[in-house]
Amino acid sequence: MSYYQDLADNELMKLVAKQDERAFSILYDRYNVLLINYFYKMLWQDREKAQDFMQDFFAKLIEKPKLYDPSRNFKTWMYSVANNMCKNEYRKQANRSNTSYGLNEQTQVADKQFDMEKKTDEQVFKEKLNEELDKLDEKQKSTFVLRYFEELSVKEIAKTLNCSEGTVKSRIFYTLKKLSESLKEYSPQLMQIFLGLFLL
Amino acid sequence: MDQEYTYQPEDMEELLLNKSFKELLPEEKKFVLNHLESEVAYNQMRDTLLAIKKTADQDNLITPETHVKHDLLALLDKKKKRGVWFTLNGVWAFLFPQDETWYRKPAFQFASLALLVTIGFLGGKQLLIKDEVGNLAYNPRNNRGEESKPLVENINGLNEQKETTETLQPVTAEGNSKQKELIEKNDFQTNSLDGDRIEEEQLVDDKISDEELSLADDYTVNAEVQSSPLNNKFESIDKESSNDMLFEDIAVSKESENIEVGNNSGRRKTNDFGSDKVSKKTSNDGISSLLMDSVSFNGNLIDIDQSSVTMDSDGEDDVYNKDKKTSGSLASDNQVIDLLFTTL
Repeated sequence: MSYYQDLADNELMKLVAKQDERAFSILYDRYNVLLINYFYKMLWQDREKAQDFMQDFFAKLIEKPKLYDPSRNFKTWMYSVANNMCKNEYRKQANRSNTSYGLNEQTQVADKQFDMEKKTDEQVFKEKLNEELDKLDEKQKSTFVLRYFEELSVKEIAKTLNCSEGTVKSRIFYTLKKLSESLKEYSPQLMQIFLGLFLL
Repeated sequence: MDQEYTYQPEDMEELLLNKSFKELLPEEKKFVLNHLESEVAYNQMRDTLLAIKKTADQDNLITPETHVKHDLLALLDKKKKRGVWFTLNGVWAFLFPQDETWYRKPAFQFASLALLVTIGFLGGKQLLIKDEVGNLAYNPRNNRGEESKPLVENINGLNEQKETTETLQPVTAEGNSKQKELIEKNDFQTNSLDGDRIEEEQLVDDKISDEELSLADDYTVNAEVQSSPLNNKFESIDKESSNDMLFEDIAVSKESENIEVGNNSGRRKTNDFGSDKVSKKTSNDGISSLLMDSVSFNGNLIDIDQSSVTMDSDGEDDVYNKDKKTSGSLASDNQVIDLLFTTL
């Protein structure tokens, strides 16, 4: 088993193409958590959906292992495929609920406002952050999630999203600026300041 | 100052993560204020970024349920078995379909085809072997005449003379001597011949080309026999004849038992002497040659093996050389052998 642990992702993928169960198992253990959390962040924090998407991704890996280009880094290729899956899901959701989207948003916001009262500042900030992330366009969202939640380097993000590094940095800056304006009320530091003033 | 221009908007992240606004260098502050409204905006942005980083680090990562991995491994196992099933059962089902009669099953059809191909191959191989044996038994001499025929036909004038030469029977030394005796006995009609020759000498003109002469020379002598008795007889003829005149053939007639000189044009004139032929040729340099193959006397066939009698106009060096054989095909040798057997 240690032999498989030492193998690089590319080598494991070659073995997966030959229906090697142990190679697949190692590959799954390496990336299942990262992938499900990426889907979770990208797909409205829906755990079930994220799990389904993650399962679909590995099922594709089993059924069509030749889709993987061995010349590419497996991790960036994996996020690239996952990002495309999310895009498709966005399109489907947009087609399904063109008219009812606003109603759902309002309902969700109302529910969250009710729950926020019971949660800590950090939890509130986290939920608000996710909410704001969902409002971003697909490119900004994927770039931001990959940078701060999946902790990919700018170079890796550029390869994953097939764009230049400058574009990635620019997207990060403007997304951050946007979020800071929308989240300034929910910043834990700011809330602590407000709380301290209130206690005084 | 140059460092000011090295900063780009996308590099703001580095400053936000590492420095507060107070910690920024003057040029960095200038750069930040070019892209953000104020110090407050910078600090607010920095707080948000740090909060996001902290939230991301502390974020409880969700994990997939354990059955997901089992399901995926089961899928992998299923695919592996499906591949094996396809390779074995699929081939078997294709070769032996259950709903077909036995002769329509592809396996039997393929086997029959393979059998036919094998039989055909072996049969063809046998035929090839037979052909090779036939080629070994084939006598190439039988075809030699057929193959050379067109070549012979292409030679004008030469062809006729060659055929005549080949049909001439060999003359043996014994026969040759008898022939000479016959000529002597019959008192070779030199006078009459001389008269004819004088007339013919006058008629023969210089139109005879060098090519005809050379062709005649090629076919004149197979074996030169310099015979003194005959020379004596022809000597008188040659002495009277001019060097410009050519008498290619002189046939000896059995009935008249004399030698007729060739026609006026100087071309060969051949008469049967039984089955034998005797020809005489006189070239420009005065050398006369008598070509005799075989002579029959009193029913006895005597071969002289395509010998010829050559004599100088001077009558000198008349040496009989019966064994000198310069040419002659293998086919003619066989004919000689056959004739010898017949004779015996």
